[in-house]
Formats: sequence, C-alpha cells, structure tokens
Amino acid sequence: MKTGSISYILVLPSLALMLFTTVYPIIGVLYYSLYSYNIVTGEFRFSGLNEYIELLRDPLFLTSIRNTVMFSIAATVLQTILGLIIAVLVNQRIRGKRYIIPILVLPNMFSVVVVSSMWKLMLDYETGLINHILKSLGFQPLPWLTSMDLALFSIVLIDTWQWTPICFLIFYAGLQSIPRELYEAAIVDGASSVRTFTSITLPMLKPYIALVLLLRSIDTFRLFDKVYLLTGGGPANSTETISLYIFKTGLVFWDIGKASAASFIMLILILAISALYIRRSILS
Amino acid sequence: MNVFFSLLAYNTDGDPMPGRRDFIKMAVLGVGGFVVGVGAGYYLGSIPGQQQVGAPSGYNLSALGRDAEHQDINTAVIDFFSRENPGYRVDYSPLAYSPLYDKTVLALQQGSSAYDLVYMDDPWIPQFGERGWLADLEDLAKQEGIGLDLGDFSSVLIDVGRHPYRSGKLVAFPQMGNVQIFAYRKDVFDRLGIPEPKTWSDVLNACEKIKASQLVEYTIAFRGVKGNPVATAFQPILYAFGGKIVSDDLRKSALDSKAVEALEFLLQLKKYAPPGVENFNTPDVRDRLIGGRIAMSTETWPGWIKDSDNPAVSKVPGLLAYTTTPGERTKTSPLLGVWYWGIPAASRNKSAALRYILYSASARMQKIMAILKGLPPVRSSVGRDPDASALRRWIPIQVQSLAVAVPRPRTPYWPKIEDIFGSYVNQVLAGVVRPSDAVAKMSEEIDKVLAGG
Amino acid sequence: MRILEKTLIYIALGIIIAWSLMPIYWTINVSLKTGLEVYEVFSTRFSIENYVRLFREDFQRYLISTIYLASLTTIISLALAIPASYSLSKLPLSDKLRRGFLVWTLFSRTMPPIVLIIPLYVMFSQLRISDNLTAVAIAYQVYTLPFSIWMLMGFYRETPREVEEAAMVDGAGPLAIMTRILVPMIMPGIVVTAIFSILMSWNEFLYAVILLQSLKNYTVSLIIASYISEWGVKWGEMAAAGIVSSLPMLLFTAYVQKYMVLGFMRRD
Repeated sequence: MKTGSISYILVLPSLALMLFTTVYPIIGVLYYSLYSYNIVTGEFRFSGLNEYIELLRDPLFLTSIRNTVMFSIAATVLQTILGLIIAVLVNQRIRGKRYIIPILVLPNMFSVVVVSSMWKLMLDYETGLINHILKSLGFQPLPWLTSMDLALFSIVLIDTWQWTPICFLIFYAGLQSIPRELYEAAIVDGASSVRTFTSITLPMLKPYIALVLLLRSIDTFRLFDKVYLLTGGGPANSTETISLYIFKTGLVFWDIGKASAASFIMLILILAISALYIRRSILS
Repeated sequence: MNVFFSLLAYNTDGDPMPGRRDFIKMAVLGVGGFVVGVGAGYYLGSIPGQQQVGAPSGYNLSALGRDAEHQDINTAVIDFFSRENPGYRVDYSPLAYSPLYDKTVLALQQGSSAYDLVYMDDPWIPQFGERGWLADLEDLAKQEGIGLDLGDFSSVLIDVGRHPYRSGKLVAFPQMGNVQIFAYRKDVFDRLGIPEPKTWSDVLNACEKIKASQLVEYTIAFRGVKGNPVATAFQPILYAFGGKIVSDDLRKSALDSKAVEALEFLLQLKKYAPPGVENFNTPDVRDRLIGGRIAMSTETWPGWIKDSDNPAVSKVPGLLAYTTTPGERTKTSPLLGVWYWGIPAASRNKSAALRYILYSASARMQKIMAILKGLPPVRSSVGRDPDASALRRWIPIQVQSLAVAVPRPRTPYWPKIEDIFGSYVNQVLAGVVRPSDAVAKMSEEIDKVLAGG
Repeated sequence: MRILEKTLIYIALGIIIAWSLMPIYWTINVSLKTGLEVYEVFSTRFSIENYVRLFREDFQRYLISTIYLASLTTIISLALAIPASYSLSKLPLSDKLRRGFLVWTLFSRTMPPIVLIIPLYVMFSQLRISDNLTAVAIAYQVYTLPFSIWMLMGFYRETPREVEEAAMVDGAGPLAIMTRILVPMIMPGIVVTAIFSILMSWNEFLYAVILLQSLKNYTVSLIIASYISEWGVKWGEMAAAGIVSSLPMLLFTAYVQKYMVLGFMRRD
C-alpha cells in the first residue's frame, strides 16, 4: 500500500544513520576488543580474549572502576537529597519564587568546560576563592584538587553544584503534583509536619525519587570532562574514571584493542544499570 | 502519562507551548546564527590557513607545527623565507602538543601527501622512523647536491635525528634546542658564600644553608605531577646516580638499586621544596622561580626563563644564574627536549621542504631568532655568539648543555614507559609507595611493555 | 513559630543561593581583572583588558566554528527527525520497528559517549575525514538524532486528529499532511528541539577533543580547555572566554529549561 511504503521511506534515513552511529560502533568495539591493535606500531593481530585478561589484571583499570562507582554513588545520593531538600524549601509559602527559582537553576546553564574552569578558579590552592576565604578566617588552605584524599570529593562537589538544580526541578514538579486535599486532610487530622512529610510527601514522591536516582547514576557513571580538565586522573590515580581510562588507553597510547575491551565492559556495566530505566519506560 | 506532560514545574503562565512572539524571536536568532555560521563555515573551510594568492609556478609547502612560542618562531622564519625566496610559500598549521602528535601520526600513517614538513618532539622520532614514515634527509641532500653542515651541531643532536639511533638514516633535522639547565639565584648564593653547585650533593648542601638563612620562601622546587613532568624532572637525578631506565639494547628494564638510591635522594630534596610539590607542573615551578620565591630550580627549560630579565614580568631581573645540570657519580646528564623538522616519505615537495629546513636551521636564522624571539639555538656557533648571549644570558649554558645532553631512551614504546615511570615516581614523591617497591613494580611493568605487551 | 520557621527557611535558601552564585560571581570578577590582581578578592580596579585580548587573539573564529558545528548538527537532526517522527507517530509501521526506535532512543541517552567513539575515530581517520567539523556533526547525531525523534514524536502526538482526518478526507496524502499541516502546527516544538540540539553541540567536549586537532577547527569548548593548559592557567582569559561563550547559551537554556524537566518525566 502506498501509505505503508511512504512510512518506511521517511524512517529510512534515520534508521541508516542510527545503524551507522550506534550499531556499527558497538560491533566495532566488540570486534576490536578481540585484536591486539595499535595504531602507531601498526600491530594488528587476533588475540581472542587476551585484551580482556590484560585489562582485568591492570590495577589502574580496577582502580578506575572503583573510583567511578564511588563517585557515582556519592554524587547521586548527595544530589538527590539536596535536590529534595531545596524543593521542599522552595515549596513553602515564601515570596519571590519567581526570582529564586531561576537563580537556583543557573548553575546548570553552563557547559561542563565552563563549569570546570569556574571551579578551578574556586579550588586552586594558591589563588582559589575558597582557600582565600579559609585563610581570611584563620584556617589552613586545603589542597582541593591536588590531594589524594580530597580530589575525588572535590569533583563530587562540582558535579553536585552543576546538577542539583535539575534534581530540584524534578522534585519541585513532583511536589506541585501532590493534591492539596491530602495536606488539608492531614491538617484536619492534626498530623505534625514531620508526619505529613513521611506519610504523604515521601510516598507521593517515590516515582520521582526513583527517576532522579536512576538518571543521576547513569549520568555520573560516565564522568570524564571534569577529571580530564581538572586532575587528569591524579593525584595518584585517585580520580581516574573508566571513561578517562578508555580515553587514555585508546587515544593517547593508541592501544585500540585494550580500549575497545574496556569500552565493551563499560557498556555491559551501564546496560545493567540502565536496563531498569529502559524497562520502566517501555512498560508505560 | 499526559498528566506529566501538562505539568509545568514553575511556569506561571501555564502555557505549555512557546508563544508566537517567542517563536519569532527564536526563529530569527536561529536563522541569523545559522546563516552566519554556514557562511563562515564555508569561508573558513575553503582557505587552507592563509590567503590564497594564486601562487605562480613555485613551491607550496604545507607544515604541521606547534602553537604558542613555536608558532611565533616558525611563522617568523617562514616570513623571512618567503621574502627571500620568491616562489616559495609555506602554510603553517599550529596545533597544541597532543593534537599535533595525533594529527601527525594519522597523516603519516595514511601515507598522506598533504604535508611536506612535520615538526616533531625528539621522542617521536623512533616511532615514526620505525614505521618508515620519514624521508632520508642525507640521501635527499646528496641528490640535490647540497652539503649538510653537520659539524656545527653537537653529535647527540644528529644521533637523535637518526633512526636507528646513531647509526641509521638521518630522518629529522634539529630546529629548536630545548634542553634542561639548572637555574639558581646568584645573589643568594653569593650572600651565603656558596659556590656554583656541580653535583647533587652540592645542591643538597646548598639547600641546608639556604633554608637556614631564610633568604627565600622556599629553597628549591621541581615538577612532581605524575607523567611526563616528574619523569622528565627526575631522569637527570637518576642518571647522575648511575641509574638507567631501559637497557642499552632496549629490550628490558634496567632499574636497579641505583634507582632506589636516586629516589631516596629525591625524597631528601623534597624536604626543602614547597608543600604539594608532588603536584607541581611547569607553571608552579616557573612562576616561583621568576617570582623570586625559590632559590633553585633543578630542571629549567629555556622557555621558562625567556623573560627572567624583563622587569615587567620577573621579580628577579638579572639575579638568576645558570649552569649545566649537576652530576654525581657520573657526569652531568641534562635531558634533551629538542624539536626537529622532518619530511614525510609521501610528500611531493621534498627538495623544497629540505631547502626550508636548512634555511630555518642555518646559523644566520638561528641567531636572528635567538635574538628576536628567544629561540634556544641548536648550532654551537650561535651558542658562542656574543650578541645572542648578551640578550639571552642562558644561551651559552644551553648550547653547552646540548653537547653533553642525553636523549630519552630511543624506543618506540617510550610513551607507555614514561607513563609507568612517571606514575611510580610521583607515588614515591607523594609518599604512597616506597622507593624499593616502586622500582620493583616499575621493572615488572616496563619489561611487559618492552616484550610487546 | 511561623516566623521562626520562615526565617530559617529564608536563611537556608540564602545559603543555597549564595552557593549557587559564588562561582559565577567569582568568574566574572576574575575576568575583569588583570595581572596579579586575580589574587585579590575585592580589589576595586576593573578592566576589560581580558575581553579585548580575547578578541584580539581571534576568539571570534572559535565562536564561528562552534556556530557552524551547532547549526550543521541541528539541520541534519531535524531534516531526519521530522519525517521519521511523523512516520513513527502517525503512520502504519511494523511494531517491531517502532519498538526498536524506542529502545534506541532510550539506549542512546544512557550510553556513555566514550564507548562509541573509538571505532568511529578509527573509521573517520581511515576515511581521511578526521579533524573536520562536518565529521563531528555526524558523530553528534548519536545523541541529537534519537533525542530529536523522541521529542518530536511527543509534539506530533499532541496534534488533534481531526485536522489530519479533515485533510485526508480532502484527499491529501501523508507527505502533504506532514509538510502543509503538521509541521507548521508543531513549529514551536521544532524550535525547542532545535535549541536542544544547538545546546548539546555547543557544550560538548569529549567528541570535539578527540575528533578535532587543528586550531582552526577548534570549538569554544576546546579553546577554553586549552587555557587550563600545561603552560600556566591564563586565568583572566579563561574567565572571560567562559563568560562570553556562555552568554548566548544562557538565553537558549533559560528558554528550554522547563522542557528539560518535562523531558525527564515523560515516559512514552
């Protein structure tokens, strides 16, 4: 039928591009991961699961997985809680919401490179604003980005600054959708504000909380830009993430085979997390 | 689900779709931006980097090079060259360090004839030479009947330009004589009666005296951040103690007890350095040196001290003195970081490219650039030139250092080895790993890399 | 009680607002200082020298490259997505295909960019099209295309059936319906989708840093990143560049922010 074929024709270019930009790379990654392939030395020979074995024996790779997971959990939890708190605060009967909300959302309007550079200005040991403030208050300046113990935490901080606004917006929308009557009924019943929060607000927000947790975990897992720009994976590999590891292995050391194997492993890991998200979305 | 869609977080006018006015504004902005963008894109995309002036019969050379001060120098040389050689045009594409490496590798690997001149850091030469990507310059010169005046260069410079090292074909010609020197505050040393340090033990003794005197904020500083910086800063010390990273046949790691001693010496030095030295990179050391906050910089590159006598930028004009990197059990071993010009084997303008290279490395051009732009020269004759050294006080020491300099191990696997080496030295500096453990682990990993892993 | 509560709330919000604004304020501050004054918090000497220097060093060419890239990416996405979304939302198609597209759009949103780029990089360099803004625009389709399709499908679904039915009664074919009736109807939605694509290309960093090498092809993200470089952080210029490059995008982002939230919440 004519209508039928038109519908496929319209979809065809997108399908083609999709195959090219998503399916081809995934197959490519799987393919290259079975080879020992180095662009500079020209080596290209089949090596089966060798690259994977080398990968799992590489302490840096394992460190990168650990760092990425730690970062992801810390950032996700922090942003979810903060976003919720801010949303509750803003949802109160206060004046000036029209101005407060855009300001709260401002941090998310900058590109990640600009955010990184802004925070470099804040956290630099010698010239950063935060150490200025600490020094003027009589405290010792802290090596935010140059200490093994603090570096990853600083990145969590920056990511939180950048993304809490989105969590806030989602929770705020959630709060707005809770019908007034429920609260009115609670007041009539004489419930305290804490009780109201735990028995009405929180349960009603459950789908939103789940959504934010899911989205932020998926997003934080791919951390690259901030660590590339601010710490390069250091100090002492404390901020080395999986994405950074793949980048360095494949595009600095040109070990395409190993980088592809690592990419494939990352793919599996992220699928595990996002399978939840995808299934939820398909079912609805 | 549509409930969600109609929910608008905070929009007070409750209008789910942008209004007409907004749409028109956005559309105008968008179309305007797009027209500018596409038009500019075509414009930018069609020029290869400089004005197309429709060259008559002549030579059009295309060069890939570094940005920043290298760009300054090279474009100045190109300027002179094109004026004195009508019919020759050189197109220079400036890139930052890693992108330059990436793009050069890709272009060479594809056998592309798009570029006639490639600007290389000396560690790249073994990799490119091994793959046969670069043209034999001596051969080329012979065909053209041009003599290469190799005697005016320190032998190590020419050796490094050959692949295999020392014995093979000359595939790269030196251009910018970057080499480590040792910088110190002469005024502080004179005040305390300390002679110029010749060995690392001298340096340590000086540290003790200077720290006690409190004439400067910190005695000494060096680069400690993991990777190339600390690897480069530490190698002279390692070599001075008789240590080696890779065996002479480039097959195995040669790290041994001497490396452990050298690392322990480094930790001694650390006591006199500012806190956080394990994260120091170029600006951290350079700014402190020029800012008068340290008395010694163990590893100094000419680019760092270019403006050291300029009162507008430096707090220590005229106060710095330079000497060759200290030795200890062996003679001094400053590290080479020289930049070379090479010609891709696939280039179609090889003789013209050679002409440019020899012009750029000629004594006359080297002297002009040394004076004008602070180029560290590669020619020994320029190093002795009184005019150049009057203005750039470090030139004599720099050129002398070239004569005794050591290159980094000439293996194509060097980037990976340097990464491992730099990672562990940094960890030792940070106090995370002990020197003996670090050496053991490094040896193991480097052996694996050299075995082809 | 109420007053105490209210004060506490205002104080808490005040802290949060200060926290949100502090880095932005400081960056603007640094961008207006020169030389050693970047070390002082409240010095009163201001100068726009950094901005002047930025443009004297040809910053506008990076702005232009980025505009070109963003425009090209968006054009490609829209050109492909508008018909595809129409087909997916209004026309008969095999269910499997529809489901496949749905899975693809969700999948691509969760996919970490680094996972896909290495084979693309290898292929682009073998085809000799690396270091090229057009190649980057194609690479960006990984994200902008599924996203655009998904967004536009939502907008298409909002349109009333009656209009279409009326047109069909008049004998119009599907193509005519799409171009003459539906596209004009969802034009505001198309604009929103376009803005998202532009924002994504403008702010992107990873693919740009991998696929582009020559300075003449640098985007704004890459040049700002280069200011945080080994040779010393050029504080003033970095701050100025950040402010300048953010201004256009701030306008766009403000406009579509609410759609970002909606986007997260929609599930269909």
